[in-house]
Amino acid sequence: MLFNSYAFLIFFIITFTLYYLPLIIVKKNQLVILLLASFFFYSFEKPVLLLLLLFSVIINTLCSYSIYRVNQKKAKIILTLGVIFNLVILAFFKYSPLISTTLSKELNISNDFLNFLITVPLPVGISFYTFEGISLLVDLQKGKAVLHSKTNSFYEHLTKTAFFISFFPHLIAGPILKAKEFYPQMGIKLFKDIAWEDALKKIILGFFLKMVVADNLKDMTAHLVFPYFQGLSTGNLLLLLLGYSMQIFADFAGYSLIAIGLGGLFGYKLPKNFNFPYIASSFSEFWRRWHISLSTWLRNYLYIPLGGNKKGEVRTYLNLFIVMLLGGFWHGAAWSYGIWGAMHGFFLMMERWIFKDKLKEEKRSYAGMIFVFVVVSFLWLLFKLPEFSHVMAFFVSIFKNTGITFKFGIHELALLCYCSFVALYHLSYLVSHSFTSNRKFIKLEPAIYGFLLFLIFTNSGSQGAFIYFQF
Amino acid sequence: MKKIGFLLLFTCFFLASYNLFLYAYPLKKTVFYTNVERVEEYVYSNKKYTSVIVGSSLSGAFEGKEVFGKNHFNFYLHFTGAGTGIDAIRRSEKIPEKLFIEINYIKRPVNKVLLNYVFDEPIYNLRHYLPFLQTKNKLLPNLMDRVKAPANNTVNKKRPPEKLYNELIEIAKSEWSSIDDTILLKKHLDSIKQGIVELAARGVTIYFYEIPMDSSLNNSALIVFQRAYFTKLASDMGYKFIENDNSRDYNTGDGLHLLKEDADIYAEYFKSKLQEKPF
Repeated sequence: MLFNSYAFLIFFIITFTLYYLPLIIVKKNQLVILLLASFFFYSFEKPVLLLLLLFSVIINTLCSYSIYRVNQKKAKIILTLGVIFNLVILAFFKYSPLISTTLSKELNISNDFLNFLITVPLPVGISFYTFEGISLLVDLQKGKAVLHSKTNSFYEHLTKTAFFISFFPHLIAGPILKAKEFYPQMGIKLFKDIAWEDALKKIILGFFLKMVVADNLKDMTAHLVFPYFQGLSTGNLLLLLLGYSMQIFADFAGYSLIAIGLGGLFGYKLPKNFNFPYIASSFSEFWRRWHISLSTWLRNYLYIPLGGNKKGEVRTYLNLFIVMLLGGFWHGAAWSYGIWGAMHGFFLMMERWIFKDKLKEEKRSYAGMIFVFVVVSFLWLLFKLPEFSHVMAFFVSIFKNTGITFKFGIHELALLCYCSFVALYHLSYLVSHSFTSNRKFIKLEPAIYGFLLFLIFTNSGSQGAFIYFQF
Repeated sequence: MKKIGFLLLFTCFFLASYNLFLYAYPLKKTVFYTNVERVEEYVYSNKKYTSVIVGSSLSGAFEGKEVFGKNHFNFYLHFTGAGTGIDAIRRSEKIPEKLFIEINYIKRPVNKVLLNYVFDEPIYNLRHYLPFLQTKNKLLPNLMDRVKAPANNTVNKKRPPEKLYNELIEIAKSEWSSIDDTILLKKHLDSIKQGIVELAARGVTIYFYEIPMDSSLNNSALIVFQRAYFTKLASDMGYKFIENDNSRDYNTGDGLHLLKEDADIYAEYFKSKLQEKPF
């Protein structure tokens, strides 16, 4: 179910009303209501996918419950088994089509099993909920206080774990939750405690970024398709690339903001996922600002266990590269995603090698900002164009098509206009951090958000799925 | 809560003002950027059209041409075929006197997502009273139309570089050279036929036509099959089939879409055919 659909609006109103009914609160059934709503939300398009989610929930509940109850040595074994289970599920559903296609294409191996693997469907949100399962098991093994309560029955633990994994705002495209931050929040929530202003502002901004900016840009960047883009001028190609870069930000940051806002309406604080990433003046800063819940997950559960920066310079570079490479493959089962991750890993390594401790300084470099933005935007091509040869054709066209006249028509003007919203959004951050007083801005907030809401009604693009749903 | 109240107040104020503006000065668009805008223009405008074209973006070649008289609507839709336009006309209940049906991309399935978006209740009726909800009244594109002249993007002035053109021709050839499933295609054409027969029964005069494509595609398997199907339908049911202009080869930008100059020539040819008897 898409957040930007009428079906979701009806679903949300019903869930919200039931959730805050006094009878439900008194009987302590709020979690159950949200849980059932989340299962309905997930199974709305393809009910069969719910089976896999339930399977994942049950295994993670059993493993985490056992880790909680047994001694340290046994807990480690259960943790290993649980992590392997999550990774196997992810690998089977996400990567078996890639591996089998590669084997049959490159090595000419073909049999019924490989043909079957090619047809394995990708369950939506699987990358997110398997990572959350791993987070639960690891956090629990590290410190049992995660569960928050000493008197957990199995049923209570099952309900809480199912809720942690499947709470609908974050279920399909994050933010990726950490068990130690989410479990302690579970409890009775009252209507009077809702932080309305904060939640509504996030929801409005999220819908604006998604429906007004990303969905309109989506129709324009649809021209970024091989072989058609080869006939465009260098300027038009760069403009389309800028459009896609802004679109992917608006799409994903928009989704995250809506998710966080919805979480807030149910009394849950979901972690921040974006922090104005396009003002980053280094790649390490970019990854502290872009998809924060994934980068912290990768840091906590992959980079640090690999040794982080504690095992010498060469090993640090290697760890960075491995983490980004795997992060690339997390996004999608295609070699282009691997290359995307490897390129980010390469730039992280290079900047660490060149700048060393200077990276920790808070100083903002505008040259760095432009460089990072340009590189990041070019690397998004690997998301947009499914084949590496198409990406290369794009680069060739950029150099070859300098002779073609730059066309600046209505579509190009519209593209720049929608991009300017994202630029303005980032500028607002820079401005508000440059001046000590932003009282005027706060006074204007109702009018500004009112105008954004007006634009959502009057200027939304055609409805489209969120880009990150495919991951 | 006070802030939220102000926020909602501002939103209502902006929406009400824009709605009033749209009532007072309905926007007159000459170029529609999306299929939704085009369908909405047909459905919600107060005009009653006497002749309508339904087809794919290939029929964008007729955009702005005076071929069909003044009270005409070009209902071509991107990435779909005439079937979508026919269904939209049926659901809108705005029945024209003459219906021109492009058969090139009639093989494409009806775009149900598009039609449901426009016609599904209760928003369908609400859009009559709240025109700001109509996509064609989107604020920013309309403002931009006033800054920069809108342009018909389906017609190019010149061919792309030779290498790209050849690649595009190859793509087009692979699309048209064979029929994946003849039974399925026939079933699809039969369902479109039902819609046509229904409109004809309501007094609509039906015309079929083909937009010229690259000469290498003119006799490909798929187009020959469709041509035969609709020629037979026309002769069986007494509809009209405007014969192709075989006197010359037409130039296209990608094997499919006519270049501007050739679109002008074809429009003139079409006009002359309409003036001939028995049309």
